[in-house]
Amino acid sequence: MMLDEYPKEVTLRDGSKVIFRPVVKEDEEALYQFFLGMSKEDRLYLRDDVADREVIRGWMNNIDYNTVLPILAFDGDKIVADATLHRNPHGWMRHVGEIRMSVAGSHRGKGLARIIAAEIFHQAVGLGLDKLVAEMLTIQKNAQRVFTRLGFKQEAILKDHGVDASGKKHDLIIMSNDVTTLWEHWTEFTESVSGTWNMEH
Amino acid sequence: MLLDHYPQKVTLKDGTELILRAMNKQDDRALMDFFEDLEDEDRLYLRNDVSSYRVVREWFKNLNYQRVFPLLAVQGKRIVANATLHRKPFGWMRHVGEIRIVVSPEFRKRGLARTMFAELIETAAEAGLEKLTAEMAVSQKGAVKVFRNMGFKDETTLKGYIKDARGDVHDLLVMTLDIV
Repeated sequence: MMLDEYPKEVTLRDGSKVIFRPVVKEDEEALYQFFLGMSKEDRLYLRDDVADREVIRGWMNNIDYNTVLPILAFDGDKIVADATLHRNPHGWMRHVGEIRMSVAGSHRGKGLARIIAAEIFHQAVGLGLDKLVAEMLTIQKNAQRVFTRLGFKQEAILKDHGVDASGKKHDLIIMSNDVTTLWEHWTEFTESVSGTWNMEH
Repeated sequence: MLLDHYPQKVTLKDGTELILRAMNKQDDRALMDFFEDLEDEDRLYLRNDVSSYRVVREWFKNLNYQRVFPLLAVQGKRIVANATLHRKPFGWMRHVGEIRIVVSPEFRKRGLARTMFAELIETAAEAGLEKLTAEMAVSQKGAVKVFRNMGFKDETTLKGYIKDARGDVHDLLVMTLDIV
């Protein structure tokens, strides 16, 4: 894993800067605050009950970058985005990674989702993964738009695989693409807007 | 979690008696032996590297029936089948469970998989789940047949999602069964 390149400073579209680095145990409080700052609706689309402090503590006590690599974006001491690369390094899906991400409301519309996703692509390339997958509900139109722009394609729809807080069923959409394709897509994109994006160590 | 159903004695079609029970922390060695007895063809498709004691030990360290309910079929001290119900107690997939099963070669075609499925489906229904999924390689014809016989329907095929132990890539078949 290419972790010695962190912390890494990134300049966003509006000129503000954030720092990317992998999660460490001491981030528990900041991560908890990050999740508490999300709307209840956004939290619903996460896989775990992040409003429960014990859930976050459980993660922090079991950090293993080989199975879950979380890259955090910091604005000062505050976490403003979290992107994770999930994989199973030993099994029949060892060539597939899953990407999940959340961006704080205060930091949306600045291209942060896109740039932190690219950080995950970069790690996926380094790990030799073949394929990246993202899962979301069909009603999460914004998330679909973000992943489509990142180069993901719809792969399958699983009927009624999601349920919201009220118990209503929704279809799950699986989006994916080859890691090399995603990386090329990203590189072309950054070239097309060069000057706007600035990633430095 | 229906734990009070176990241990439970089951008699196979041919009269063989086995015990069904939940896996506990003392089963790690017997489970390693169980996986070692599998034929290469079966091991090719396992989703974890079960020959690694480290991987198996992790499972035992994190035994949590709310997330993974492992049901064993044992003959004396020997494990002859392992069926698991995986679920997410929280979030948008809280109504969906995933079923996996591995049966020792000499205990196949004797109705054991069906019996264990029935147990897991009951456990799933009791836990409030509404849908079960099963994932396998499209090329695992035997497994596909077993799940179809249990009423599972093909839901989708995901291209190239499986890389077997040899490094060959296969499509993944997702099958589902509504249980309400």
